[in-house]
Amino acid sequence: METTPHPLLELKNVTKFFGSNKVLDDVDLTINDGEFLTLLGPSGCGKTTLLRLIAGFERPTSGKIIMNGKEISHLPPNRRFVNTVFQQYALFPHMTVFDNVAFGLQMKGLPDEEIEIEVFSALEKVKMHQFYLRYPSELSSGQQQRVAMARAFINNPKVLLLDEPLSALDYKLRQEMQIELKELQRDLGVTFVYVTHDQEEALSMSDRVAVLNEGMIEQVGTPIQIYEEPKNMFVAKFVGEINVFDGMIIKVEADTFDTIVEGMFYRLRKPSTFDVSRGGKIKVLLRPEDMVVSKVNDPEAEAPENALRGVISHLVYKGRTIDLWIQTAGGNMVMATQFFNEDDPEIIYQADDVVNVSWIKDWEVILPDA
Amino acid sequence: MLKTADNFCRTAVLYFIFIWFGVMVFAPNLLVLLASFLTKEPVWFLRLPLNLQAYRALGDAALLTVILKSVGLAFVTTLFCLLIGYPFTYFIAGFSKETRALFLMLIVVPFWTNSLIRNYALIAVLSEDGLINAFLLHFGLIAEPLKLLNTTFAVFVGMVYTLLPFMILPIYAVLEKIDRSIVEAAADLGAGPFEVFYKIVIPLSFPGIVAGCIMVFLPALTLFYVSDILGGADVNVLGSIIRNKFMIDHDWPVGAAISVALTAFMLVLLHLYYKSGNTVEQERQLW
Repeated sequence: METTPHPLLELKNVTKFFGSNKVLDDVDLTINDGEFLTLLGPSGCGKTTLLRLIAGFERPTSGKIIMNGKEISHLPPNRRFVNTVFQQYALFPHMTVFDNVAFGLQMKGLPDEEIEIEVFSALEKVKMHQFYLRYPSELSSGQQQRVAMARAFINNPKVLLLDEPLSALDYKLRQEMQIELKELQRDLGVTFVYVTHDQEEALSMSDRVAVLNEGMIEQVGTPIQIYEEPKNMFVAKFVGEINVFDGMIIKVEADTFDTIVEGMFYRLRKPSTFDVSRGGKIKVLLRPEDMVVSKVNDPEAEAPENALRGVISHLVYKGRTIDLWIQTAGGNMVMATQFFNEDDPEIIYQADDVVNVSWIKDWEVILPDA
Repeated sequence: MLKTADNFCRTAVLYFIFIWFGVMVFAPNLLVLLASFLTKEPVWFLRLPLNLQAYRALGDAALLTVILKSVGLAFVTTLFCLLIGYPFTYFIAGFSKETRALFLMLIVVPFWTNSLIRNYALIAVLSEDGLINAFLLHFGLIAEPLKLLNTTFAVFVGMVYTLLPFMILPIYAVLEKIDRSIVEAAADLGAGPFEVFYKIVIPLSFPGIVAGCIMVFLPALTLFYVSDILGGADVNVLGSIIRNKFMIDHDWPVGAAISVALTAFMLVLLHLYYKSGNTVEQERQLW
């Protein structure tokens, strides 16, 4: 998206109660025209409720939902330019694939000839045209998923809402559908709002990700921002694996500060998001793939500067990579992902090996210790 | 060893069901069929030779008139049970689980009282000094009590009252199973409440409607005690004619022939229902 983003859908101070249970708490979110936005969060975080509010199946307790500058909070679902792909697809079991996909256009009162052309073109986009006479029960779940997609996007919605549409599929099919969905979204140019609890799905498909927790948005950003610059501990821990170290600030300079992590001295770059002060406590976060591990041949020798000494507690071979769990002298368990290097024989690790652990300079994320 | 014990149990249960069906369903129906081809006998009720005399009696104009009246009454009863039962069921199916359970309780609890007694209770409502007339007289809406009891109307009221739950329960079973997201999907695709109802809810609950209609229509033809209690001597349903043929006229062959004709009629209806491909498709989806 080279052009300046044009806000299509705005959620302003949206709060939703179910009885006395607060499901969404003062949510503000802007969704831009043509983007693929993912609502990511654990189950019960309110992401599906947010989607249902946009679809019109629920009304916000307070706050506004605005589309193209017009408030739509209180319009019924059939009067919003929004369509939904349901988690279990919700295909009409008493209708053929053709009739399912044609339903929206029939409701609009389009002439039959036009509907026929549109339906076959939509079915062709999802490669289901040869199945148009089948009933949903005669389709595999992957095929049902495609029909549900076609049934929704044929209506040319301004926003297409997808509620964990891939969760019922097996792993391999899910991988394929992720790519297909992304391609379809580019092809159609429709704004997608996608709900998932699967962070891998969120990172691989989205233009932007909104991370939700307990009814609140923790962070909105590109997948890279979410993964590499998490704003808080929840985002850091929910998206991917991460190592967390406690640090104590001992000295602050112009661009750097000095800290003690696991009894070792480190000079780190000052974070831009908050002020550090002497005596303050911080969290130092590091992705496993940013860790540098080297084998120690002489356990008596001192660890080099900026490195922690540790023992490999266990390891998991993953083909392309190997995951090491390293017990540090300070008592922390550190996870490090190492890529294989065919030319480097040193890369054969075993449990109980003594290693030095450090990280690539400046790749750490500093958060205040709340 | 467990396997053999398991097999033995399964075989035993199957045999039990077969024997039960044989003794309780197949044999009695066969006897009725046989009786319909025999000849009337004053003392022993039945005797040889086999003939079609009883079936010829079905063509009798007086008998045909009563049969048609009974079929008409059953039809109207079924229609009203559907018209009352469906909206009511649709209404309660929209409530929370707890509330639905309460409504179902309220429908089922009267069943614990014998329906004969409940129909006697209707006399107190419909008679000339009953509740309805007392109410209408009190408010001056009528000058003289209406004759409600011992009319076709009274039988109709009794039938609807007695049979309504048989319409409600099968429809409820189907409505409850309809996935809420399917209804939401229809609304999402632009269907208003009315379109959702007749394009989605009605077709998806059709098996329940058919089951309910069958369960109301059949008894409505044959519930002779309702017509006896509320219709007096004036109203006869098919059931009371069959009863009279056996118990009063002692004409077993004709009674049996009417029963056989009734069974054949119902089989034809059921066959037509299963033949209609569309509904079979829905059956397959829903059950």
